[in-house]
Parts: sequence; C-alpha cells; structure tokens
Amino acid sequence: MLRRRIQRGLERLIIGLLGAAAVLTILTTLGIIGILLEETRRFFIMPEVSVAEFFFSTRWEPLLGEEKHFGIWPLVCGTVLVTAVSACLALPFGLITAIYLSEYAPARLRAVLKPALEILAGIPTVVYGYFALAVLTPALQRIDGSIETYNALSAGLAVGIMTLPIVTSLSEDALRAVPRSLREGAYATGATKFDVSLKVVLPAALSGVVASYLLAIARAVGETMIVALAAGGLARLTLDPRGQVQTMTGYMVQIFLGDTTSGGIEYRSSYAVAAALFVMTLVLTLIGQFVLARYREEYE
Amino acid sequence: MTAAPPTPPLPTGRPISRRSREVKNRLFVTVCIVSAALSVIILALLLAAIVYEGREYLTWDFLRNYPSRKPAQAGFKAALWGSIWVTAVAGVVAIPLGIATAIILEEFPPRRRIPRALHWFIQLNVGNLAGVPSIVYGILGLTVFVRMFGLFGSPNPAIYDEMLRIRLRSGEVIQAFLVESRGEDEQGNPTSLIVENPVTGLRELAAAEIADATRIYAKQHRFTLSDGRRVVGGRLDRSDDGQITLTTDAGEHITFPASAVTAYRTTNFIQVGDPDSFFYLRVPFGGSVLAGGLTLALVILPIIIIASREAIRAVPDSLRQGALALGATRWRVVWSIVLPASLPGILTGSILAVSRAIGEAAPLLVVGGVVLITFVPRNLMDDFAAMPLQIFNWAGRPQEEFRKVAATGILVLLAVLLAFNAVAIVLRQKFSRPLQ
Repeated sequence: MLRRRIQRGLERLIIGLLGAAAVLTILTTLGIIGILLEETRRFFIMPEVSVAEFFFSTRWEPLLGEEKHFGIWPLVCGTVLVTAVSACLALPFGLITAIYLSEYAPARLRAVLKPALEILAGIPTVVYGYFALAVLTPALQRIDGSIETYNALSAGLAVGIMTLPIVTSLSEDALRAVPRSLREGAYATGATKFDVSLKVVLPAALSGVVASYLLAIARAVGETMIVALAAGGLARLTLDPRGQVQTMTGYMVQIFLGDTTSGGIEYRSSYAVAAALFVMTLVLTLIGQFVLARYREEYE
Repeated sequence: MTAAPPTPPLPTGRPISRRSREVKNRLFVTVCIVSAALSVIILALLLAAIVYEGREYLTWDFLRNYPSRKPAQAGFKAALWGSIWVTAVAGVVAIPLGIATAIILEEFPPRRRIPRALHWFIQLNVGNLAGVPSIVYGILGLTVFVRMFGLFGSPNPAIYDEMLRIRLRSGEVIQAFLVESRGEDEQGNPTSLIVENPVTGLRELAAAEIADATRIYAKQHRFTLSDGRRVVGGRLDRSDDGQITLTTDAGEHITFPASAVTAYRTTNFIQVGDPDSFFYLRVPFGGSVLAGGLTLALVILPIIIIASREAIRAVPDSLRQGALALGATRWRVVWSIVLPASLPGILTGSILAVSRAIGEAAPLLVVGGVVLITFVPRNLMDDFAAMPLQIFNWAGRPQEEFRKVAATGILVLLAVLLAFNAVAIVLRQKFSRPLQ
C-alpha cells in the first residue's frame, strides 16, 4: 500500500518536472518579448529619438554625422528587397521541384534529389554568405558591370538558395498528403499528369504550399549571416538590387560587432530594430501556423 | 495513366485538344527537370567552389594553429574546440528539455480547462519559437545569461569594469586593466601587454613572462586611503597624473591621488573555484562558453521538441493500450514502451538540431564569441571562439588570401557536419524496426 503511494508520488513529481520543462518554452517567449519591450522603451525615452521619427522618417543615420536619424524604413526596405529577391528564386523553383518530386520523379531521381535538398538545408548560413560574396557576386559582376561588391542581389539569391529546401520539403509534404482518390478521379476523366498536378493536387494542397511560402519568407526576413557578409552596410531607401543595402539583421550585426558603448543610443536602437524584426517574423509564422493547422484538419 | 480514353470537352471554356494538353504536359516536365536540376547544380557549384578555394590551406597545421594575422599561419584550433564546448553545452541542456516537453505535449493531454488552454498555448508557442530569428535569441542570451539582468552587476548594469587577472611565471598575480597589446610574433600574437593597475599604474609585461590571463569582471573597487577613509565604488577611472576617480553606487564621483592608497582590492562577481580549474563558475556568466551554449540551447530547443513529438506520435497506439491493459501506469507506459520505440526518431532529430547549433553564428556573435582567441576553453567560464564566427570573420576581410582561409574553415565545418549526419543515418538504420 505504502509502496504504491510512494510510487504514485514519484510519478506525479516526474510529470511535474516534465511540465516545468514545457513551461520553459513559454518563459523563453515572455523573456524575448519582455526584454525587447523594455529596451525599446528605453530607446524611445531618449531625447534624440521619437516614436514618430522611428516610424515616419525615411533616414537611418545612427552612426554618422552631427545629427542622428532613426527612421526605420531604409532598414525595412533593405530587408524587403533581399527577401523579395530570395522569394523570386525560392518560391517558384521550390514549388516546381516539390511538384516534380511528389508527382513525376522516378524513384532513382528522387534518391538523388532528396539528399541534395537535405544537404542544402543543412548547410550553415555563414557558408551561403561566403558563397554569395566569393562566388555569386563576381559572377554577377561579369554579367553586369554596374553591380557593386556588396549588393542586395547576390545576398538575396543566396538567401533564396537557403530557403528553397524549406519550400520544397514542406510543399512536398502537403502535395503528398492529398488523397490518391482525388488524383485517380481526375485521371479517369482523361486528364494528363500536368492537369492533375496543377488543377487538382495543387489546389487541394494550396494551404500547405502557402504555409511553406510564409515560413520561408519568415526565415528570409530573419536571416542574418548572409546579409551581414554580402549585402553591405549602408541603409538606403532603394529598390535597386545592384547596390548595397542594409537589412534590419545586418544593422544588428554591425552594432553588436562594433565598439559602440552599451548604454549608447546606437546600441539601444538595435533593440528597437530587433523588436520590429520579431514582430514581422512572428506575424508571418503565426499566419503560417494558422494556415497549416487548417490544412491538417482537412486530411487527417 | 496518360493513355486514358478521350473525354467530352470540359463544360467551361474552349475545348482543348488532347495533343495540346500532351504538349503542355511534356513542356512542364522539362520545366520541372530544369528546376529540380537547379538545386543539384547549385549544391555542386557551391561545394566545388569551396573545395577549389579552400584546398590550399588545408593542412594538419590548420587544425593545430590558432588564428593569426598572417593567412598562411591562420588556424582553426580555438574555433574548433570552442564550437565543441559550446555545442556540447547546448546539446546537454536542450535534448532532455526538448524530449520532456514533447512527452508532456503528446502523452499527457490535460482534461481540465485551464491546463488544456496552457497545453494549446505551449503547442502554438513552440511553433512560433521555431520561427524566431536566431539573432533575437542572441539578444535574449545577452540579457539573461551574459548579464543576468544586471542583478549582480555594477551600478550601471550594462557596463562592467573588465579586468585581466594575470598570473606571471614568477608566481605573482596581477589584476589590472588591459591598455594595449604590442608587437606581433610569428603567429601574429602580441609580444607584450601594457596593463594598468589603478594604484601602481602602467606596467609592460612581455608575453614570455605571462603564465596565463583570465578576464574577470570587477563588481566593486575598494580602496583604503592613507587618511583612514574607505572608498567603495563600481566604476573606476585613472587619469594620467595619478588621480583616481571612483563612481560610487549612489552615483557620486570621488577623486583621490593614487599615492594616497594604502590598500586596494576588488570584489568580483560571485564565483566558485579557481579561474584556472575545470569547475570554475561565476555569475553573471559573461561572454563565456556557458552563456553561448545556453543561448544555442534555446535556439535548438523548438527543433528538438518538434522532432521528438513527431517520433512519439509515430508510436502505434496499440502498444500503449496493450501496456495500459496490463496495469501499467501512464508514466510507466511512456518510460518502458513509448520512449524506447521512439528513440531512433528522437535521436535523429536531436542530432540534426545539434548540427544546426554547430553552424549557428548570429546568436554567438551577439553573446560575445570572440574571434582572436589563442587558447582552448578550460572551463565553462572561459571565452570562446566558434567555427562559424571565425569563418564569418575571415570571409569578411578584404584580403583575398583570407577568403581562401575562410573556405578552408568551411571545409572543416562541413566535414564535422557530415560526420554528425552520418551518425544520424546509422542510428536511424540500426534502431528502426517495424512496430506493428
């Protein structure tokens, strides 16, 4: 009797400990939000900045000159530009590769393609940064002489290569989850494989594909080492990918690598940038999760 | 499949001939193959470029040397060992926590309303954490682990007086600020250090004299002056004419000449053990192996949770029900049935997560991984370099030669990752057996 009671108590204790581990994930989120909010508040109460300037000014000049400017738009613009370039590569090619893998590819080709994509997904981002800087940029400069040493184009392409496996593997999962009966019904009406893939399977798996797109874009927005190496360090409000831009993450790297004093305004500004970045990726992942949850309900 | 009999035209739009549809199909296959080939070509190109650039410096010396200002002598030793230390800490912390969270989420779904809401929220939250950019985790690690919210810190929590505790070969121990490092030897390391003790002033130490040096963080400086006054403060400045200015905890500045000091000592951050020993600990952690490892643990925790959940979910319910029917408790079922059955999947996921930690640079960059380091960490409180950070530093330098060194570093990094993934594949094949 007593032994059983001790045993039961022990099990409760173990389950309690497991629960504590789970609560840690919530503490992590609360910690991130709390720290970003507090440091951003400290940034905004500094006399040199105002909330209005942060959101409405188009000049980001925190380090140079007499008068400092903290308008976040040039950094957002850099991030959007790099992300857009990456999306142009990763989204279409990732999806087409996923369709090929799921609908067309013979087993032998799959056996080559899947590992190749897995390796691409496992390569550290700093390696892609090196690739952009040492391989892509010189190659692009040979095509178009007006491309600068640091530019948004090669950084964006490298980010695209990095996110391509994410799109492919998540989209392929979604495409494969489409029930066989749907395909067979379409074939029975005389559809070609092309018709089946694009007009039956793809629409049925659309929410999964959209989710993969959103997650890939979120990764691109938060990507740090590639842009820190290849995109440059000049915050500019431009849509020309040939020149250098600074992204939000790129600015944070510049600050944390540099010699700015930790109480200084430039240092604090990196927290405000981090908060903006966090909100952007959070919104993207939340929508992605929501879409994914809906798609799961449909087929399970 | 494609040889289906002709069908009546679709109800909307113009009728489309069978031939044009076949042509479209074939065109699409071509597009597909080109697109799929693209990723293989990129991978081949990337690997070829790195091997081509990196082959020149790939020697055993590269693994044996410390970083240097001369490309030909630059080595990876500090970065390799730093990465091993930091990743080991991350794995040891994150893997048990991740598995525990996955078990709670999958095996103990709560029935009452409030725990159920919490359960749902944790699930959502894990998905979101996986999407948080790693540099943001770096900021979390900087505040929580490196500085510990300034709870143990000086009046200004963001600024510590960083000093060196130098042990000389003669046995003398000096605590002083580093002013400058001078000279450059064969490896590009400084030949002498100029340090400044608040009381005794400047002193030049030849590299040959120094047995070792550790970074310490002075929490408070305590002076006893010749008139009997005792002065305690958190920040210290020494001017050239020998005047010491101390900022007290109340924020006032006290100035006195160094010659009036009869005793000086510092209170450092709470520490256990000797800085040279294996078990040395202190709070706050500073930019140490422990701080870096814990930060990386947070980065990979959601990945481990998601992978472990998938592995646990794949265990057939019949196994659980069989054990329950024999009278096993729920925990007993988890421990003896579910965990052994899902172990290959959990291990594979954990290894992939750890290999992600090996390649992460951004959080370590924020937490303060140092690049020019010429020692291998001895304990959890030592500064560290890391492979991806070192590569980042080399690749970002303007000299062409350092690009090649960066490529060599990438080769080593990729080799380590490959070894890890090979272990994952072997584990998956060795342990996976049919469960039904």
